Amino acid sequence: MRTSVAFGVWAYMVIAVLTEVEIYYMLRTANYDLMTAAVSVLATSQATAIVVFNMQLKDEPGAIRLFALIPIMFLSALLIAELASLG
Amino acid sequence: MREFALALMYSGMLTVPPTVATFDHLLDWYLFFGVGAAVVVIGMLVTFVILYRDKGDNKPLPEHKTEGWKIVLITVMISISILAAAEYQTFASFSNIETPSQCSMVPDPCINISVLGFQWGWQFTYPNGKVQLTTEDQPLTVPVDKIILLNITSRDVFHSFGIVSLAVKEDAIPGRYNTLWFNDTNLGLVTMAIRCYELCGAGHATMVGNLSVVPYSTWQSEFGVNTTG
Amino acid sequence: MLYFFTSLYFGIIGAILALLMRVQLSVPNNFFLSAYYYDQAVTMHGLIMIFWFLSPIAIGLANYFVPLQIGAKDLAFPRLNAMSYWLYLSGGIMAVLSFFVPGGSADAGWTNYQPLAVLTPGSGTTLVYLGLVLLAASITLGSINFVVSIIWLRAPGMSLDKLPMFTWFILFTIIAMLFAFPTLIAAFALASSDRILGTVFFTSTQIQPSILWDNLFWFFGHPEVYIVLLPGFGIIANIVPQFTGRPLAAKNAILVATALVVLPLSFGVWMHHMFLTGIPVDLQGAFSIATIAISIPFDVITLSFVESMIRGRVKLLTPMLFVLGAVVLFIIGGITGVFLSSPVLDRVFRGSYFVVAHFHYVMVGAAIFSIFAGIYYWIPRFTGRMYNERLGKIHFVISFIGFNVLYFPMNFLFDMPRRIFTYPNIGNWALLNGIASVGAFIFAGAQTLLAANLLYTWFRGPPSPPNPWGSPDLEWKSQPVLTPSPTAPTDTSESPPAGGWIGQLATPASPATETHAAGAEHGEAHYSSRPIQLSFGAMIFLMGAAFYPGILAIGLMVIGGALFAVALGGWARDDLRHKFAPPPEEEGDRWPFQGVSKMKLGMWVFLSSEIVLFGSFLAAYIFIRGAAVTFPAPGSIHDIPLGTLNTIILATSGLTMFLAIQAIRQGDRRRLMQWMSVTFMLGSTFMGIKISEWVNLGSSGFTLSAPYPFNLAASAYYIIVGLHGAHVTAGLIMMVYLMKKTKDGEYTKESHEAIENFGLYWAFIDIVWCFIFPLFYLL
Ligand code: HEM
Ligand SMILES: [Cu+2]
Ligand SMILES: [Cu+2]
Repeated sequence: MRTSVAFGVWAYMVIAVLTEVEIYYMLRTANYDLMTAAVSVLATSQATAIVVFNMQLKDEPGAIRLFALIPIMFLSALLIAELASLG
Repeated sequence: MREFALALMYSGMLTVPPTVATFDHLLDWYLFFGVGAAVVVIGMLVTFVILYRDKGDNKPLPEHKTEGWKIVLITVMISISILAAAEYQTFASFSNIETPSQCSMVPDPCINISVLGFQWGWQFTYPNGKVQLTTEDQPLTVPVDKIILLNITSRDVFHSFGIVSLAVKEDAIPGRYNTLWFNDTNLGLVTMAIRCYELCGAGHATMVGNLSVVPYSTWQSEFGVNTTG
Repeated sequence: MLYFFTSLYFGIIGAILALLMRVQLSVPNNFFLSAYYYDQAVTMHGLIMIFWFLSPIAIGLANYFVPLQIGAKDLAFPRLNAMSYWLYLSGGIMAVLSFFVPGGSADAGWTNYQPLAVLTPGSGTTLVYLGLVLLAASITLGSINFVVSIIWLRAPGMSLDKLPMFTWFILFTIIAMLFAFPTLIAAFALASSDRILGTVFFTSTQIQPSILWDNLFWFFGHPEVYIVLLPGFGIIANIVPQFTGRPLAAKNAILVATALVVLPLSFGVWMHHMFLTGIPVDLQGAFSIATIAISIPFDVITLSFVESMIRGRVKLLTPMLFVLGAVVLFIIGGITGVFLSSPVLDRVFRGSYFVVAHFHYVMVGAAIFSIFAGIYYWIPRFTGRMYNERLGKIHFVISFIGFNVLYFPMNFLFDMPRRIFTYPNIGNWALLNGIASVGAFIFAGAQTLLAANLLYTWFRGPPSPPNPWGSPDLEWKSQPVLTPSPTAPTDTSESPPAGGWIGQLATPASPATETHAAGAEHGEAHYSSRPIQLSFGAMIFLMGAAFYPGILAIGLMVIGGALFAVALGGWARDDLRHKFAPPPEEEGDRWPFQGVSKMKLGMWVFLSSEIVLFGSFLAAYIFIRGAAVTFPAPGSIHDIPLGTLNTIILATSGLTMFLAIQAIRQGDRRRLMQWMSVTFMLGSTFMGIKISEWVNLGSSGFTLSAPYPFNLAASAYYIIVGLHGAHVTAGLIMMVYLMKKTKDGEYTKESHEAIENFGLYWAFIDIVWCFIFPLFYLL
């Protein structure tokens, strides 16, 4: 990764977190669900940016990516089902 | 195992409650498939062992080019169809675990009773507000030939409320209300019909209760809501 | 091999508990054991057998034979292996000690259903829980080691399609462990913190704690049952061809079915343990189908085993007999499992002896019988001597009969609740229980024959031919040292015989230290003692924590913590002095991971388990948020601007860490040092702000003893954010160490692995915070 990209990722991190907070102030009373969705998307995009660039997953052999993808797959199953089990 | 559970608890000729009928029917399917599969596969194993045992001759073995995946494929296909058939039967029996649709009608023909599990016993709250604890001579009393809807929860820890002779069981969990239904078609008192099926501490083994099935009029006068008043 | 014998030792403890229970249940209305003792016996029997006997005995075999099978000298990280063993032992010591503290041991069943288990008084339960956490840590380290070894240490030419089946199945087991055990750590850490610190994860009834526990426990628990089973299947698949004289039928189908169906789906069926908890009917249906689906690969495996005899020449020697026994018992156990997968039938079977029969058929029948097969099969390789065939056959026959006398009657006890300490004389309960108890003694008695045969082989067995079974696998190409002298100590479970296997345990370290130690009197010289110190330090610290509060507790915590710190410092010092220089990396077959270094692979595997660990904690938190009817409004507790600032600080430290890496990539050690220092400062600032936030929150009444729902929010916040903080702190400590090494002129353009890997870790910490911040501050 070139240094410029690193600064790009960092800038994105800062902008994303500020946006999260902004969205929170805008929507927390108006539309809580929309706020949750938007913040979740932003957080996920931040995480993805770090994994792809700072952790250089994009340059690793495909098999390594499995170590990141498999647990996330399992955890999603846990999350969806546990919330469904609340009835 | 048909009627086995029942025979255990009752004596004499009896009718089969609907939940038990559904359960027994389903169990018959599973026993048919399950015992059948066990017999066939273990039979195959024994046959092969006898057929291909080391007879001490040193005849060269035939080549195994394909490693015999065809027969594996065929037998697996057979077992998949059996599993699918069994699962289909399960889905066809879901009435046992769904709240009957009648119970959401108005007027509600179902009898609603609240069950509270605690360390160590059960407490029942009847439609007229009467509250009873399980003891030797205070059974869970229900009218015959009615759909009974139990609303189950717990005061302290995880319990599981089961009446195995009626093929029903549901967990009693603090902070949560679970329902189960049954319709007992036989009059009489069944001792120790109710048991706790989840370890809940030292008294788990003695967390039992009796079930008493009485005519509707008797039940109504003692536990029912007084509709004439 | 130390693993192997230690697990046998725990197996004996578990068996004694089982026999006590069978004595108690042999007749109705018995009072040999009271409920108090029975509940402890039933709980600890399950925990010890599953966690300290079954899995470790398989890992013990794997420890010895996997390196041999792949043509490696040892596992990838020898010291990690030692660490894993000592953590396992420490956890076990805590579990066994728990019987002797006031209030006794854990007694809520091996499943530890909540809230019963957190409400049990006494420190015994806490000891067991923290022991489990140590065990899980041990397993996680072990998994990393095995994954890396199997992927990375294969000898040239050992391509994946040549990998022996045992190694394949160990790989599957290990992968399941890697993803399952972090959830166990999370679950038991939450429960322990309830018990020690007074958090309210499982005591606050407003959030359906039982359901939270069930989800966490069984999300781990179902994969765990396969973890127990798969090594056994690996043994079967590995050894069947040697006894049938023909290849395994549809071998590749077995591998594909296990890798692509069993492993992924094992994390998607756990709710079949929750059919009765009142989950929606559709969810029950979905998990019923998933459960049926996961039984299909097992059909493939079983039928392949059965059909591998067709047109072969079946030699009925002891290992093969145990294989056949295991297959028969698995068929029965698997089919009863299919019965249980029906939510409708489960309304009768759940919580009854039918379930007990089911899982003993699979766990004892299939798993232990096949491990016995493996023991008989490999003992010639291990000792250079042959076991006694006739005694082996008798052992099999009596075990098989005893097993069925013990467990088959339980299939008919479908109306008897499990885990009741006594029962009235109704129906056929007395008869069936009586038979089962007789079977228990037959089965247990038969195992003395195994012990006798092992001892006989070890000391008196006739020398075995180099490859008695005509196996093509690599382990038979090298030769064991014949175990010498019948005068060696016979107490195999505890004291190691001189020479023998001591070289195998713990850490053979580098060739250099090996030669250095060759003349030394003590086996200890072979390996670093740091892993023992670290493990025992952790153990003593956690014991103190279990007894908390009190002077004794604090004393233990101080001693344990000190020992831990000293050991850690010592470890670092050893490294700085290159005491254990890593052996040069050799060529090998590494597909599909060519070009990835061993350390980096290890780091990724570790991060993979960390994802599950944090994921489980966050999943618990999200569940709590979903279940809680009332929860403090966002913004009402945490200082959002401060949190935002801290988030930006951490993100910036990610950037500076990257610049540090970039510097050393260009070989600029001075800039590396500068950027690392900046990163360190930013990280410390983050922690400083964190601590000041905590102090403020604590003094403003946001504590664990606050009224509901603030205590709940506080529990979640302090534990989860605290865990993240602990990771940051660990990162800071590592940074100090790396900076010291940099100052010593360690890293160069070509060689700076450690820095790169630390960069991965630091980035991961940043990622976790990306989720923690919105979850706790904004939502
Ligand atoms: C064909 C494959 C299998 C199926 C369909 C199956 C299905 C099930 C189901 C539905 C339950 C829940 C029963 C209940 O609590 O009501 C269960 C329990 C259990 N199964 Fe299996 N199972 C299978 C194989 C295995 C294997 C291979 C193992 C272990 C080696 C195993 C170990 C267990 C254990 C330990 C429990 C009980 C846990 C407890 O409540 O303490 N099962 N099984
Ligand atoms: Cu109970
Ligand atoms: Cu399961």
